[in-house]
Amino acid sequence: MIRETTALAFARSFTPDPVDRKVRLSERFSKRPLIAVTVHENALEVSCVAFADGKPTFSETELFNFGEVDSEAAFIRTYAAKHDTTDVAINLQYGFTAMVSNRVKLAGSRAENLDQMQYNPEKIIGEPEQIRLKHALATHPTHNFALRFDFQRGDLDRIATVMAKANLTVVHFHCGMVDLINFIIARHWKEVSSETAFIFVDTRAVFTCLLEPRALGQPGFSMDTAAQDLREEVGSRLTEILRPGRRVILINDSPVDVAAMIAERETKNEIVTPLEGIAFPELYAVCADISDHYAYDLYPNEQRAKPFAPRSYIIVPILFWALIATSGVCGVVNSYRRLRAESHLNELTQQKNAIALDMISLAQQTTGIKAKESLAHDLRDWLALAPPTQGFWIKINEALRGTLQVQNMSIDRIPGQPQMRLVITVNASEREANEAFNQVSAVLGKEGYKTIDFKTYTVPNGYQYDHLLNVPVD
Amino acid sequence: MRSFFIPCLTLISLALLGVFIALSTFQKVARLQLDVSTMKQQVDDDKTQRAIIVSTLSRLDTESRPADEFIKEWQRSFLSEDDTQRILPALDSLAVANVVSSSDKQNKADPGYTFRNKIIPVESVKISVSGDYYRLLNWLGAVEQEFPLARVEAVSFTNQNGLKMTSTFSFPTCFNLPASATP
Repeated sequence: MIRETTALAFARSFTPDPVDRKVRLSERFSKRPLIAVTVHENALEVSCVAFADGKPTFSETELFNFGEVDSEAAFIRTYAAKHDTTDVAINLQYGFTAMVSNRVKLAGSRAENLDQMQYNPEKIIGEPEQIRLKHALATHPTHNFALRFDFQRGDLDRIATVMAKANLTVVHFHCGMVDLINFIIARHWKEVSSETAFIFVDTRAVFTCLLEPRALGQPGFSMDTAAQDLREEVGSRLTEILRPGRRVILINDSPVDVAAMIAERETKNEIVTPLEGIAFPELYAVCADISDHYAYDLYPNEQRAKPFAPRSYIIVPILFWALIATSGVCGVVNSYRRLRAESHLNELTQQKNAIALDMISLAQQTTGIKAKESLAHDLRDWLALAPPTQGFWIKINEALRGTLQVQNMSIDRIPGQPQMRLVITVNASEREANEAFNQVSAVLGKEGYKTIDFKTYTVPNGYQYDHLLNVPVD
Repeated sequence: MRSFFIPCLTLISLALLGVFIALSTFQKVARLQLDVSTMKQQVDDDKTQRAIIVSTLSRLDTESRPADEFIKEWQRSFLSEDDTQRILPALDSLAVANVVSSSDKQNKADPGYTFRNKIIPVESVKISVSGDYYRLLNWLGAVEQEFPLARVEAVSFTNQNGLKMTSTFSFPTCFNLPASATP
């Protein structure tokens, strides 16, 4: 399945298999080299085949007369190697018998006909299959008549063996005589009047038969005729088939002037020459492979043809590659865009990180400044609420100067508050004590202390001054 | 014809997979571009914020210059916890220098000292000195000059068998320049 998929992707599936006989030879070998071998009883002729507009053309033929055993295989192998091909079409020119059959019944299509003739021939020929024989048919276009040609399988096997020894694949194994009649029926049937004599002459063979709109006549033929006997053989066959006024379809590929021989007989026959000017008319008919109703191939062995995709499937590889290409282009463009965006994102991330570091530094500086301000504030508060006391005591001392005796004095700051308690105990008269205490209060008031509470007590031998003050704060 | 159904299906599936991958790259790029746009907005916001902070900092720096000067004036009087070891010897030295005798010396760390609703760790020192009144005041003045941040919590003069001054000082140990600030 992988092979089929790959072949379809690379559009190789649309080329038919060389051995696929359901496809015309011209389609199978439009771009492949092919050689054609015409096999006579004692010789063979080889030429290269090329197709132009579906029509075959041939190179000069090379003749090989059978000699030593296998020499023909060596000859064909050399010829094929020289023309770089491995495929061969065979035009068989001997070894058959021919008769008219009215039991032939073709199937609907070329493919069905070929299949049935290969695997179930009695269904077409209307008689039990004979193992030793293979058949070829030239069928009447409108009626169930056919010229049935019977070939010995032994002859066919021998030819197939020779081709195998020559390392060639037999892609088309036909009888030129059969194909020539089929060609006339397919392309020139309009030339057939009530009774028409078909006469074919080449350098080795004479073939005649009667063609009628509703029937086919018994064929007469002579194959592998010696060159010196050919004219006599032609004369004999003309005597058999010519009647006054009968139309003649003549295909002459021999040096004998058959038309003149017919004219000499004064039977007033109208002569039609449909393949005039075509070299090797038999081989041409074999390789033209034109009939839709070919119902035979003489190759005796099994050949399995690989299936090929119909042309309509060409949309699949086109669509496949178009989508793959589009996806690829999108992928490349988006990869570029993604790389650019990632680069931009990295740049922005670096900027953001740098700014974050800046912010941390700035925050530290701000914290430092605020910490300094806080320190300065705390320090200012501390200093404001802890003024030096030496000056205070000097002023108190000045206020108390006199005759009174100070027993003790103290200050106590109220913890955490801008307040302090001043206590002075003196030994003095009431008047002296009051005077001194008033002076102290005056000094304190002058220094900015505010009174919160003020009391004087009488103590043994004197008076006590107890003043709760608000310390001035700058 | 039937034998090419699965290859056709496979090729079309592969192609559709390719299309899906291509479309997903569009989505990825769109998401990335959205991230870039968001990040750009964030960077712009951060730049604006940084500019505001720089401006504020500049203003704060200008405004804090007097505080700097103030701290600089007092910085040499700051005491660390290690410095508390030299307080009592210093007080004794000052007593000797001012011809007073010191006694009953006590000192202890008071980490929970509360001042104006703030905790200010201090080294609390209590000391008694005896001598003439003016010498005692000189000693007190010398102490206040040597330790200008010292807060006199209590002073008590008693006159029994000579004049004696008992003083309690609080030496703040928390006034230190913050590490992040350079005056």
